[in-house]
Amino acid sequence: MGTTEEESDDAVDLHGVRAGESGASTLELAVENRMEEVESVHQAFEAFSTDGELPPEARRRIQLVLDELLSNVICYGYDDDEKHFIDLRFELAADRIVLHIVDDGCPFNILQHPPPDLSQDLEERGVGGLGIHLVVSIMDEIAYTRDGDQNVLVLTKRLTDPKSNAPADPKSKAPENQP
Amino acid sequence: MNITKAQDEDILVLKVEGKLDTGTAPEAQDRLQEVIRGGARKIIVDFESLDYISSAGLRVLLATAKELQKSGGSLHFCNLNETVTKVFEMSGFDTIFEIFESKDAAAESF
Repeated sequence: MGTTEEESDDAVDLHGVRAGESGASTLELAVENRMEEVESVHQAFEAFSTDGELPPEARRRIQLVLDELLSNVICYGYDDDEKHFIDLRFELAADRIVLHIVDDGCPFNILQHPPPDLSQDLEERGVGGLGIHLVVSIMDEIAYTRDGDQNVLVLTKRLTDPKSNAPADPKSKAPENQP
Repeated sequence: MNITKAQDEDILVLKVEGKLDTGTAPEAQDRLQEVIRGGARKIIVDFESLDYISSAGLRVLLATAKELQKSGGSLHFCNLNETVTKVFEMSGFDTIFEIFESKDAAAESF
């Protein structure tokens, strides 16, 4: 939104983009646990995805996933008022993008989060649990580990059809694999 | 995010540009509340220039639709991109909201 210029101090520590193994490019960020920092992450990721020619549909889905996961950690992950840093690492290759998120918040395994009830009508509907449900639906592979006092989440989105800019639909991808 | 308003007879068209996520949802909520308080009852939300929507944005749409329903109004959506369409499907919003291919189709169906 560009309305938080005063907030853009150096709390997002940009470690920079570099070429990794097998031609993958990598972006690493350390993000302070304040909602004001999420916009800086979006800006850094947009620049990274443009440089790496990530298809727009995939870029949008990763941004949505980032919004859900960062807001979740920042709003619910900590039971103190201390400053914490969330480490983000993006690895972009021709066929996939991998996102690593490491935080020292309360243990939280998104894979064990109960799915929301999607069958209710308008009056009864809420959006509790919807964010995590979107993340799990969008990403192709998710691995969670609790490592000491850290949550380590590794999420992969395959870029199966870069020509159409259409990432695989997780619900219909299974029979479509190449022979 | 930016929201522009256009009145077409008794229909209010709100064009949302940018992204509807945790950072922009509060402002979107304020703007939508404002038009409902201003008396709008037939509202089209045009998502042609919406980049993506997260659950924070969905929460705003749900709250708006519920409030509008209480006052006898309705909310129609049009021009969803592939990502937004997918998010509506994944969250079941495609079954509780009226979604149209174009603004004209959304207008005709009130």
